[in-house]
Amino acid sequence: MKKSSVKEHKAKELDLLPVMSLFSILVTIVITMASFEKLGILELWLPERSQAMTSQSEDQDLGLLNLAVVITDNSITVGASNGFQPAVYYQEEVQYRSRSDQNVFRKIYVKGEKVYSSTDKKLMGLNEKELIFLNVVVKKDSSDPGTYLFAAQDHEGEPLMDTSGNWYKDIPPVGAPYRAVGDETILHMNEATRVTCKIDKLSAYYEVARVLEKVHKMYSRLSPLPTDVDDIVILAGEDVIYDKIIQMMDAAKAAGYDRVALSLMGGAT
Amino acid sequence: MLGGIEKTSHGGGHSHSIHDGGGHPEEGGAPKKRGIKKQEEAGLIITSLIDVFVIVLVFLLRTISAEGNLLTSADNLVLPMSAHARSPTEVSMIILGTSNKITVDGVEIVETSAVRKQEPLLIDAMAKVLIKKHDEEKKAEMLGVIKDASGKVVVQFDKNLPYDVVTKVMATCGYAGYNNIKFAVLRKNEEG
Repeated sequence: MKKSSVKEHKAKELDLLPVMSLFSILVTIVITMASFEKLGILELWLPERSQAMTSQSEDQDLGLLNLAVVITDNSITVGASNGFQPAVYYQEEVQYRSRSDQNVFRKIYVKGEKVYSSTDKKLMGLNEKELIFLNVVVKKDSSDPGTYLFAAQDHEGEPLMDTSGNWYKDIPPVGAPYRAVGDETILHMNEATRVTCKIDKLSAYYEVARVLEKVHKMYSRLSPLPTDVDDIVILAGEDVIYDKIIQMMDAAKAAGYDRVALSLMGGAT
Repeated sequence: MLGGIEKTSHGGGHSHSIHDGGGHPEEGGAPKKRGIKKQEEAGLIITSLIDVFVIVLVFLLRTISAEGNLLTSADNLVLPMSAHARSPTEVSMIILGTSNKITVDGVEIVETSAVRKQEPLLIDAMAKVLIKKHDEEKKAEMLGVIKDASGKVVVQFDKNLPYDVVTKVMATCGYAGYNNIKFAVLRKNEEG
């Protein structure tokens, strides 16, 4: 037998530098292409009947629901050809984020009042309004200052409803059925979810969505079905900010109204 | 490589030895003779860096939209958020409305304060531009350059803009033949 000479080989390491270079280039390209905010579109429905109403169209109106939501400075009202629902009064609260020092604070909105940062006392601009909350206030009439309405909410701030369509005032116990407005799926409370729930001020958009959902369900059962059962018109005054219109459109779509039209109060669509 | 290895200075053109921890020969005193240990090359550990890059890359690839950016958000504009927004499809024209100005396809048309002050619904300067654009679209449709000139327009309004300005812009769009109006919003959730 021949004695073969055994040479000691060192394991060759893989040269990872070109891979690193490739990754560096890839990451740079992807970062330049990435969009961290998702843009979407909300479709607006324009009613076909835009000309002056004729007697024939008035006759056709008789069987229609003509549902509308009226937004004013302190209330939102749902109305239809049969009448109006009680107004949902709200108090506007704005969350500001200062551009100079990123200070975040909330303030009750008062029309015409200048708001200054609580830290550096700088005047807050329009672009520093981060979030606008419309908190439901229970009032007897428009002169009553009222009290806030509170409801149990999940970790995303979505209020929880019971099976009869009312808000949970307290966090539901484990095993209790609940659902979100506009969602037919009934869930049951578990321990993990219950821990993340909180009691907070109820948003007027959710309250209006709840009312609209009830109206939509009621009219969807009618026979013959009104042709405008999925239609809604949002009416607002000149000074109402655009954000409220979009949030109201969102609430209407959540309640099942696919065709949302806009109109100026006292004006035409 | 450092440590007991002869290094050549590029600028000076002369060479000297760098001794491991010992005194410099020119600092005075006889240089100590030390046992020079053979040291292995200190290589950079790239494997962990590659891991980091892979994670970053996967995260970015998940974040990036495969649909492409049909819409881009404008500067100095805070869009409202919506949970029921759809993905943007075909966009023929974009109108921007900020607190300062209103622009059509990047061209400044009118100041927002002027729109706020005016009584009539129609914004004349904007109507002229939109009618011209709509006519061009119709011609392009007839020539077969574009599929349809159905008057699609995407409007990006600042969320703090008064509704008065919004309605005036919408009315002008409708007057010029742009009846298919869509609002650009920030999507609250992924599924849109």
